[in-house]
This record gives sequence, structure tokens and C-alpha cells, in this order.
Amino acid sequence: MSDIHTYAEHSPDAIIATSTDGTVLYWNAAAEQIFGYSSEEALHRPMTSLIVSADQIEEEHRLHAEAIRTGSATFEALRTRKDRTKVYVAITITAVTGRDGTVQYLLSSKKDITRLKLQREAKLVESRFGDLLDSTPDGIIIAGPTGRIVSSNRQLEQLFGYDRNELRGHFVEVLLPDRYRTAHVGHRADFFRHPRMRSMGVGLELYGKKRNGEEFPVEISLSPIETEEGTLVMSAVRDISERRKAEEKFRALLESAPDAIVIVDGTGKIVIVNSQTEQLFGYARTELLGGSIDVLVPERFRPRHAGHRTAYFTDPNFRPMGAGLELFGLRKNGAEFPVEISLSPLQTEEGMLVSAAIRDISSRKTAEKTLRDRTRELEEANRELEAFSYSVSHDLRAPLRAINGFCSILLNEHIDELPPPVSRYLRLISENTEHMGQLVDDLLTFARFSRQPLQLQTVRMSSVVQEAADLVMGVLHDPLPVLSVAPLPEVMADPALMKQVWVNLLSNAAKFTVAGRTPRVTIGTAVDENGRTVFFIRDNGVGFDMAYAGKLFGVFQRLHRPEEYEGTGVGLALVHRIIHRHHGMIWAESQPNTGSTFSFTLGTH
Amino acid sequence: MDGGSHWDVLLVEDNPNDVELARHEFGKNGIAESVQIVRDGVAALQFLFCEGEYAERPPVPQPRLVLLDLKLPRLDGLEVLRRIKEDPRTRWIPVVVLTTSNEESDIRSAWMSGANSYVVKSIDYQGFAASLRRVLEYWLTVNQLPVDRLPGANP
Repeated sequence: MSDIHTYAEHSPDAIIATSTDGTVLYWNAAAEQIFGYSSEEALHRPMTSLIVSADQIEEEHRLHAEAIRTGSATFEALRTRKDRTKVYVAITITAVTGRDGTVQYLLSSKKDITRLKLQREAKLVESRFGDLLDSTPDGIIIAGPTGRIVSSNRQLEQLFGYDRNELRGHFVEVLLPDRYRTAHVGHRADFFRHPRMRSMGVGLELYGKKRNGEEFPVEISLSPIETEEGTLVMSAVRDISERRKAEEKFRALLESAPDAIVIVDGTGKIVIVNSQTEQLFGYARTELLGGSIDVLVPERFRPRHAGHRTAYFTDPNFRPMGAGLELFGLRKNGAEFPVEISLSPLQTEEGMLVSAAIRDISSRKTAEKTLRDRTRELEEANRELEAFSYSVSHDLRAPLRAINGFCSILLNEHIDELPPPVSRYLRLISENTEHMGQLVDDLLTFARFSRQPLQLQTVRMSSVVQEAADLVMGVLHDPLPVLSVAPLPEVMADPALMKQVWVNLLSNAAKFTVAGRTPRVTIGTAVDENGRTVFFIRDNGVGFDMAYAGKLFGVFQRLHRPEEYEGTGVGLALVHRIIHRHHGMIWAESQPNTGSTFSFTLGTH
Repeated sequence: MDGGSHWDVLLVEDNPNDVELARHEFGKNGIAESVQIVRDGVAALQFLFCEGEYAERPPVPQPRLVLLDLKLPRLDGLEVLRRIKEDPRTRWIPVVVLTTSNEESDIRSAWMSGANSYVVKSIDYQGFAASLRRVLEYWLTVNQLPVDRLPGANP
């Protein structure tokens, strides 16, 4: 017995004795080696709890019973180590009976045939698939239930940087980054419990690890292969670095878009959102992904929206959503806001998706409403101004006419009865009423030209200047100014208003003359730094102090004393107004006693 | 001037100053006695159609000229003009609009409503007086009307 004991202790195979109920009675050194449990750990414990995994317990019990019934049983099986890795063993169970013929205990020898089995499997795989594996574009690796690599194709070896057949016998985890290894062992076991074709790690980002330690993103599909050697698993590994880069570019593009972008599939499930979507709708990305697009649509639109979505998927094209309709988005807090949405189809590996670019147009809507309100107010103000002008033209002039009328009768028909100062004062009263009449008329002209609609057409500026000059020269007294006009271009403008501009500018130039100097007025064009035509009119009159240039174009603003030069101070204000209505600019430069130059541009040509 | 009949001219004017000034000019032109002055639009129509206050007025003869202000109390000048020109009994009477307004819209409306002339009362009184004198001279002496001055009424 001690010889046997010694033999058992030195056997390269695991020798384990168990009671008929499976309790470990003996556990030799090789068993310690193969299964990882020390003799002390193993003794007095059921063997099934040590090295038999749940799905093999039934098989173990069956063979146990067979050994007891027939005296022995031989088979190959997977067993589990203390560290949960698998080992393939050839098992022989022998029932040891006492003198009374009853079974005393069971003696089992377990030979580690993992390597052997691997070689058999490799041979099988190569004979059956051989060249086929090398001809597929993906990297392929075949592993058995122990998790050791049985075979790999060239593509895989190249992908991971290994030599031919260098991987055989290694655990497949050698191809994974360290951080995934432990979890993978569990997943691997699960796969063998329920082997079926599927993608690995759906929804997870998977990485492979090259021999040099470099990691790269991969996509892996798994399929079981049934063989005489049992179930093997074939993994097709694809390097998706390029695709991942493209995806990252796509994502960067999504993030850089100013709009919220939501990508949905045909069932209305949200697949991708950008961070603008999170901000706009108030949801975290994780709350939206995988959920229904409905959550972003106000409830009253949902039933119709589903129909429209289905219709869109049958006829996808790039277009705005709900042309002519007011669209609204729904925030997480329940608030609605007006949106503009453009749709475009996206062909992807997962089928057709639709990308919706959503823009919050609240501020635009508000601006539009403000603009509408302002326009209405302005129209109202304009109507009031018109009514005001009308009543001014009647009511303000009537008393002036009366004053002037009675003064006039006194001066013309009773002059002999009036003492000299009285007639002088009456004349002053009369002049003042006429001046006020002129003010009223000018103001009315100003109001009229300010509000009447622009009649834009091609205008020959030379002709307009000529007409204006004829009009102005006709009422001037000597000395008449010497007028020189350069050729002028055609412009888009309102001809009547342009004529008024030149009449006023010419009157102005001809009015502020210096006594004893022949008045000269020059009209011409120049080109400014933006390439626009600048019209100018230059005189050699009294000019003005540039310090007051800002007052030139104000209504009733005058830079000279009334007894020096007559006028109401409306002429240049009107010119300014008309130029502005033509989207142009007007400015003046002057040196006192040397002359002034008025220049303007038109924005309408 | 063709004397004998009253009311050669009907002046429709609400502003007392304008009435006063007009009277002065009528006097200078020697027709003060043959001018009827009414102060609003309703009175103007009552006078011409011999109604209300003027029910006792014989319908003949009608004035040879109506001087019509546009801005009038009760019924405005344009409406008075329209009624005159719509009615066969008064359609022939020359109506000269005499107003402060030089608004294009007023000028256009007056002509479209059948005005025979449109004269703006300027602030320059001498100018206005000259215009009025010419108006009176033309319509009361140059212009020829049917002798019975009732051409529209069919007895």
C-alpha cells in the first residue's frame, strides 16, 4: 500500500480518491498541480464543488454511477481549475470494492490532455477549413472551450503582429488589452454555455492588443463550430480604426454644427444626438439615446408625426420638415419652442437613418413679431403724420393769411392815414407771416418727400442736374454763378426726389456767395475707396466752420444769420433725408471764405 | 355785371377772417350786394336746393358762381361739390374751389368730383386778391350761362 501510495504521489496524472458520495479522500501532488487546489483544500470536500462546473455535474454523476455499476468508466472532459480556467482531462474512474463486494471508494486518474486535444483540434480545423481561413479578408481565430487558441489565419496574425502559428495554445486573452482580460474569461464561458452566432460586445467599444502592446478598435463576430472534438468558436476580427476615425470625424462634424442634430432610425428611435441637442432640449445624451423621438415632439403632434416619419422613410430626400407649417420642439421641462427642421437621409450599415437638424427660431420669431409690431406702429405714426401735415397746411396757414391780409389792406388802402412807424411795423408783420408761411410750406414738403414711396428707375443724372439748374438759375439775381458740370453717370433713383436734391444743393451753392467774387459752382463725380460713385457740388462761397458740420443737415438748423442769407433751414435736411432713403451717405467739407463741397453716394445703383 | 338779380355768387366759407377779407374784395369789385355767404356745407346745400332755412327762397335764379372752401363744418366741401354736380338742378352751376390746401390728393378729388376750377388761397394776400379778382371777372363777365339760369330743371 505504501508503494502504491508512493506511486500515486509521483504519478504525472492526478490521482483522486473519493467516497461513493463524491467526497474527496485523497488528492495527490499532480492533482494539486493540474487543478490548483492543495491537498488540504481538497480533502473532505465534494469533488464536484472543486473542479466540475455546473453544466458538467450531470455528466460527472452519470459516469460515477457507471463506474460503480460496471467497475470503471473512461472519458474525456473539461474540468475547472481553482483559477476558473479550464483544463481538458482524460479521466479513468475505477470502483474499488471491499471483500463483501461493496464499493469502498472510487479512484480516478485524470490526465491533462489540453495540449494534446489542442493539437487534435488544430489538425481537424486545418484539414477542414485550411485555405478557406486564409482567403477571408477578416482576421480569424478559432478557440476551444479552454479558451486556448487552436488556429488563426494569416490576416489575424498580421493584424496583431504575430508569426505564423505563434498564437496556438495561448489563451485568446493574449489578444486583449489587460483591462478586459478578467471579464473576458467569464464572457467566454457564457458563450460556450449558449453557443450561437452573434457579434461580440454589442454596444461596447472593443479593442484588440497587438504584440507590441498597441491597441486598436475592432469589431468581432462569433460563431460556434460543431466538430468531433466538440464545440469550437470561430471569431472573425475586423480592424475598424479607419471606420472609427471616420465616425469621429462625423461626430466632430455633428458637434461643430450650430444646430441640434438628432439621428433616428425607421422606428423613430434616437441613434445619435449632438451636444447642441442636449442644450436645446435639456436632456442628457444618455436619456435620449435608444429612446423615441416622440419625447422631443409636443404631444399634440405625435400621432401625425409618426405618419410623416413613415412616409419620409419611404421617400427620403433632403428637405425642410413641414414646409409652411409652424413646428415646435418640446423641452424636458415641458416648455415648447418654435423650431425649423431640415431632414436628410443617411445610408449606414445599420440601414437607413434620418438626420434632423433642428434650429431654435424663438429669437427670430420674436424679432419677426417685434418687426411686425414696429411696422404697424410706424404705419400708424405715418398716418398720424399725414393727418397732422394736412391739418397744418390748412389750420396753420389760415391765421397767417388773415394777419397778412389785414396788414396788406391797411398798407395798400390806408397808407396815407398811417404814421410812418406804423406802416413800417405793419410791413414787418407782413414779412414775418410770409416767412412763417414759407416755413410751413417747407416743412410740409419735407414731410411729403420723406414719406412718399420711392419710384426707383434709371435716372440720367446729367439731365436731372440740367433741369434743376434751369429751375434754380431762373429765380436767381445777378451775379449769376458760373456753373460747370462734368459728365455724370446713370443711377437707380427716384427722379423727382433726385431733382429736389440738386435743386436744393444748387440753391445752397448759389446762395452763400461772397460779395465781389464771381460765384462758381462745379458739379462732378469721384470714386471712393469702396469703388462707389461719389457725386459732389463745390462752390467758392462763404463756406462754414467745420465745427458746426454736424448741424448742417438738421431741420431748421442754420449756420448763418437770417439777415445775411434768407432760408428756412429745411433744404439740406430734405437733401439728407432723400439721400438716406436711397441708402446713400451725404457729407460736407468747407473752409470759411473759400467755399464748400457737398458730396453724396447712392446705395441703390 | 349783370345786375337786377340777387345772389350772383354763393360763398361757402367757415373762417370769419376769410369771410371778412373776401367781403372786402367783393366790395372792391362792386359785387358786395350780390354775394350770399353761408358758413357750412349743410347751409350751402339748403340754399341751393331751397330747403330748411332757405325754404322760402325762390329756386330761380340760381347763383352764377359758387366759391367753395373744402374744409367745412358739418358737411365737407368735397361732399357739397359732389351733391351739386350729381343733381340735374344744380349740375350746371360753376363751382370754384377756393382753399388753403395745395395737397395733391385734394386737388385730384376736387377735379374728379366736377370742380370747374381750383384756386389756392396763398398767404401772400396781394396775390390772393389778384386771383380772386380774375376768377370773378371770368365767371361773372366772360363766361356765358343760359339766360333762364335753370337749364337742368325740367318743368
